[in-house]
Amino acid sequence: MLIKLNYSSSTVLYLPELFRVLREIINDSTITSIAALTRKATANSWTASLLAGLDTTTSYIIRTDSPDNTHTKAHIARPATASGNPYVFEFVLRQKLYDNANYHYYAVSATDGTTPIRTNGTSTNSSFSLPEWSPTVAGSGTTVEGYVLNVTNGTNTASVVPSLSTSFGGGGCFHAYVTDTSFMWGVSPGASVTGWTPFANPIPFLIGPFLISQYQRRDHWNTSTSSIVPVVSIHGGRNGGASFGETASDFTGIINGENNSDPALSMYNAVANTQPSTATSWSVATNTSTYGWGVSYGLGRRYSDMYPLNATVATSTASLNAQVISAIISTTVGNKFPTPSLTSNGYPLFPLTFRRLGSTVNVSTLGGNITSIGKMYIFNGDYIPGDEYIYNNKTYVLWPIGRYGPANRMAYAIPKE
Amino acid sequence: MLIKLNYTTNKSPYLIFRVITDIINTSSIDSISALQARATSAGYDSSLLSNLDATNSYIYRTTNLSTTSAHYSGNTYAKSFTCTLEFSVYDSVNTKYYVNFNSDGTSLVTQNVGGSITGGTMSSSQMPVTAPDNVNSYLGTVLTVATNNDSYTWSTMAFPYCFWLYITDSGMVSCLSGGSGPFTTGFPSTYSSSTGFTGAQVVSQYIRADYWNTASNNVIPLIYMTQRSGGGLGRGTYDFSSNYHNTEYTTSSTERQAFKVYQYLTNNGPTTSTSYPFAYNKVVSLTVDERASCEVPLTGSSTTAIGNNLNYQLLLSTTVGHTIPNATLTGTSFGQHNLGWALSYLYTTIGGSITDRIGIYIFNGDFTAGDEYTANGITYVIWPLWTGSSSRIGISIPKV
Repeated sequence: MLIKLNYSSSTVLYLPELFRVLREIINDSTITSIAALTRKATANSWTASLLAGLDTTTSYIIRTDSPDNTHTKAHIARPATASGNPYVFEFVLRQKLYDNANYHYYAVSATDGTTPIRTNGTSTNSSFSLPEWSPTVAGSGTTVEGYVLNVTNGTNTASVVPSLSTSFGGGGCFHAYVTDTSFMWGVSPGASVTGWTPFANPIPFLIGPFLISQYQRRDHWNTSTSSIVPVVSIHGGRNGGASFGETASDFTGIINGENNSDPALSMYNAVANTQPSTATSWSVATNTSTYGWGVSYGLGRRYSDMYPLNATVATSTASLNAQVISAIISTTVGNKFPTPSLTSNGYPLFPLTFRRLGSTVNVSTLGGNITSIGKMYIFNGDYIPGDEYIYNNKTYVLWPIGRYGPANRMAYAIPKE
Repeated sequence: MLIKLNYTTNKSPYLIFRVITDIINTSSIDSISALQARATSAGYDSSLLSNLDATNSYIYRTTNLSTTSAHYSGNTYAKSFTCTLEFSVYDSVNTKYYVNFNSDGTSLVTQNVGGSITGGTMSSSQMPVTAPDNVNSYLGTVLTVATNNDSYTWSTMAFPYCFWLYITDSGMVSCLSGGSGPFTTGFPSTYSSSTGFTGAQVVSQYIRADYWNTASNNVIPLIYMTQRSGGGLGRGTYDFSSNYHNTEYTTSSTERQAFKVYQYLTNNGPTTSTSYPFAYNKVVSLTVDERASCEVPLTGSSTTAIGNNLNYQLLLSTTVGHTIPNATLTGTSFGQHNLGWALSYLYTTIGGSITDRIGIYIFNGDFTAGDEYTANGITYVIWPLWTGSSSRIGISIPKV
């Protein structure tokens, strides 16, 4: 399901309001369009602030691939610390594992009004069925609304810059992609038809896009039986930025995801000491530090830790033990790849993958394929955020990969379904 | 199908390939006893199965061949022969490729790989299994592999004691044991010698991984070994190394990478070009669990610092006693790894998985050649590398 909620320039955006709308859309499979959304708001007397300023012409809800609400479900509450603070909320998305429907995990986007929180976890302190923040309640109230779930067994608690404790005047657009196995969202402040305000690098306010997705497992020990949750997520607080693509070097430098000062992606949990050794016992390791188990990202089997994704190792044919590697992307305007039929050229869609080869920190993994589960791809080519792209009869919309995505010709290709 | 033909004395290849041809073409031969029955019913010349150690030989035909056939012609006096195998591409059954073994009786066995044959067809006349030995007359049509053919000396071992062949409709793996036999295990006591052991030789299809690698683009998904100096996998010290392996290296044929890809795309971007020609027979990188030897060493580790640089733990270990966790994390296990290929320099070709096509794996652990183990309901026999089992790296061959 792909959601674009575009708000006019006269609107002040508050993240809790956006997530309250998102919660309603996710949990009601009949909301398949903007018209259906507005009908429901009217019929159920939603507070006016939720959809105030929504530009119904340039917004859309595509629900061809609708989440299964038996498992995929959203919950929102306003914590006790609200006290009239318009930024306070806790949004929790529950999803099942792709290979074990009896196993749920929870992705949190929340703030207590001062500290932004993004967390993944496998349990909650409260039942998911407890009352929530009703859409009929005004956003600016002072009362506690619903029950805060407090996701536990979690990791990846990281601040988001700009923080979730922010409002945006001048309108903006809320983008979300929700399936049974993945969740992406981002906010582009400022009114525009495309939903992505034209921006130079860097701009002050681009939130995300964030990605929390399952991946196709590769390691033989990576099973739900071993309590491995096959989830990777993007950090919000890395290097003073907001997301993957927050630095130009994400695409043009060697990036070892184990460098815990600056990982773009991290995995929820893993197993230590799985490399050949004399070890006789192993434990599942959930890294509860700010950055979790950082991983190196890849496009197919070309990974960021080998060599810059846009660079080729200049090797000598006379040296036998030299690294041999080639560029997988191009940051040069106009560069293309052959089309599948080899009759012309075009821009590629790469599967997003990851791995962690291990270092002195003995957590190594073959990683996994995010695209094969989450269905989003990585685009490399000339584009403007919001452009659409058709491949194999499926339409994709291009979201920028962070602030440096457009300049480096890198985008998420999100299925419009 | 897995074939082990063990002999009490060394056997000439021109006779071995006569038997192999008939086994491949006769679906009822699913055991050594069935082979012996076939010899009687079809009137095999006695030279074909002479000195066969039936007790220590076997044929497993649980997975039969349906699109693969063999053709043999030769002169039993000159010991010259051509044995040609026809395979169909797994996702384009009407597209064929050919693997041909031949010898003039004085020179070494040569392997040819190509996209067509000349001189006749697979239906052309063959040497009958009844043809007597030591008769100076060439019987059957000589088939020659053509179309981007690549040729290598397959073995310097004229008379092996044991011939191993694993063959499916998508590929074949073989090895020869020689030296001072016979061997009940089918494997010799000495290695790293072209007269002691040759193998393993892989000629196989792979699962296509690149988006342009399709049947509609007429790509034959074929990978084969370069047969360096009569050796097989492990013949080059850089096949499984703690160093990077530069596949563009051109100086020494022995140390170059084991595999060549039959057909590959040049100039596949990123580029402004609009022309994408194919080329043939290119040395490529061996991959184990997606780790390409030209990108990250297969048996090494580099763990000194966690900066923005390449760090990597062991994937394959040459240290005795090293194990990995089993799937449930409740005990130790030896490694069974996916084998594939990649072409990383200039062409950014992902390549594909040989394992996922024909079911063989790279084994990593302590073993003796011929050891067996069971995983996921399939029994595997472990073949050694050309250097033997001391490297703790072998090939797991399905006993099916």
